[in-house]
Amino acid sequence: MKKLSRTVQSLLVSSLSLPGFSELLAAESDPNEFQYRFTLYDEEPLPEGLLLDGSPDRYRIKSHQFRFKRELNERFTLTVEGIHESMSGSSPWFVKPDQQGNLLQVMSGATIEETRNEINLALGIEHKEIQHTLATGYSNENDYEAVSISYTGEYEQQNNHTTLSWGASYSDDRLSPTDALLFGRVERASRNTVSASFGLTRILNRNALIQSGVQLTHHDGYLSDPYKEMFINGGIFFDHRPEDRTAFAWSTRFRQYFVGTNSALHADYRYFNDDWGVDSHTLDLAWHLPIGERFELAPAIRYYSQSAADFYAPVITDGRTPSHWSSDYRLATYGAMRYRLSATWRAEIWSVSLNADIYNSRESLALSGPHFDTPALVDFWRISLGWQVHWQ
Amino acid sequence: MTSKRLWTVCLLLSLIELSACAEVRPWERGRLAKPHMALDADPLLTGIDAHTFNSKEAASGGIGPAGGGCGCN
Repeated sequence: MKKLSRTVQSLLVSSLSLPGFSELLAAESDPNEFQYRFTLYDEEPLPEGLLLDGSPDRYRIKSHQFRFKRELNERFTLTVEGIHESMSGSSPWFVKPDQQGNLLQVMSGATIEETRNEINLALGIEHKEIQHTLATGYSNENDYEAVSISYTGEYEQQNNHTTLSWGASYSDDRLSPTDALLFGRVERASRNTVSASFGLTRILNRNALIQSGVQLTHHDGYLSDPYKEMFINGGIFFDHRPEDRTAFAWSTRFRQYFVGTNSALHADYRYFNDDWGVDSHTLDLAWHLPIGERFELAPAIRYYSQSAADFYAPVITDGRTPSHWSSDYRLATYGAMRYRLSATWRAEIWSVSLNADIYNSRESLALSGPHFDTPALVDFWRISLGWQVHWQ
Repeated sequence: MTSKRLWTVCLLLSLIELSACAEVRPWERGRLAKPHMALDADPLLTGIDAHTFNSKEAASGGIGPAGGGCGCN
C-alpha cells in the first residue's frame, strides 16, 4: 500500500546528498502533496448476435479523483481522498436460451444514469517507532451507501531491511434498490465486511525490494445483486447468493532496478480464494523506462484468471433446484488480459501522467474452472490523466 | 481455502523474511528511492485500478485491509 516507510525515506534523504539524487528524491521526501486524476472508462457494446433484448450499450463512467496529504507536525499527517463518478449505460440482466439452445443476453432496457461520491480521511500518527493510521470512508449512491473504518500499523525493524505492517477494517453497507416495488426487488438490505491483514516489506539488495502480505476478509448479509435475475427451468428468479463469504488473498510486489538502462521492473502477483469456490490468479508486469531526465514510459501487461463460483450458471434447464444461484457474469469462469501504456513527465515539484488501458476477457483465457457459455463477459478501454504537485 | 494453502503462504512469507539479503547501508539506497522504483508510485491510479477490477472481477483485495463497498454493476 505504501511506498517505503517514513523512516526508510528519511534515511534515504539524509544519506543521499550525492549530486543528481536530490531532485529524484523530491517526490519521496516532500511531506505535502496534492493529486488530481480524471479517468474515462468505456465498455464495448454487447455483440448483436448475443443480445436478446434491451440496449447493447454498456457502461461509460467518468471519474474525478483528488488526494490531499498534509503534514500537520512531526507526528501527525492528514490525508483526504475523494472521488466523484458519473455513470451511464445498461447492464446485464439475465441470460435466456433461444429455441436452438443458444444462450442470449437480456440487458436492462432503460439507460441507467447515476452518480457516486466517496470521501476518505486518514490520520497518520507516529508513536514509539510505529506508524499508526486511522482511516474512515463514506460512499454514497442513490441506491447504495457504505461507511468504513480501518486501522493500519507499520513497524520498521532495527536493521532497517524489513518493515512489518498489519491492519483491520470494518464496513457497513446499506442497499435501497431503485424501482424495488415496480420490479419486486428487495426494498432495503445491508451487508457488513470485516478484514484483517499482515505484510512485510524487505530490502533485498541495492537494486531490489519485495513486499508480501495476506488479507482475510469476511462478508455477511445481503450479498446478492438486486438488479440481476436468472432463468431457471423456464422461470425468471432474482439472484440468490449465500449470505456470507470468506475470502483469502495473498499478494506480493517485487521491484528490480537495472543500472544500465536506469529502468525498473515491477512484478505483482495475487492469489485469491474464497468459500464460494472462486480461485483466482493475477499477474501484473510493468517496465518503467526513463527517457532523458524528465520523461518516463511504462508499458504494462496484466493477466487475470478466475474459476466460477460453485452456484454460478448462465441458465438452469435440467430441472434441478439449487439452494443458491447467480448468472452474474462476474462469477463465471474466465480470464482477462489488460494492456497499458503510461507516459509520465516529471518537473521539479510537479508531474503529469497519461495512461491508456485495453481490457479483454475470454473464457478460454481461464487457467481452470468449469466450462460455461457466458455472453456478457466484458471488454473495455480506459484513458486516464493525472497531475501531482508536492512541496515541503 | 485449505489449511495447506495457508501454511504454504506462511512458509513463503517466512522465506522472504529469512532470505539472505546483502546489507544495504542508508547511503546505498539511492536506486531504491527513485520514483519509478516505488511500490505505489501513484495512489490515485492504484485506487481507480482497484475500484475498476473489484467491480468487474470476483477476486479482490491486496496488501492492507479492505475498504468500503459500492453498488457497482
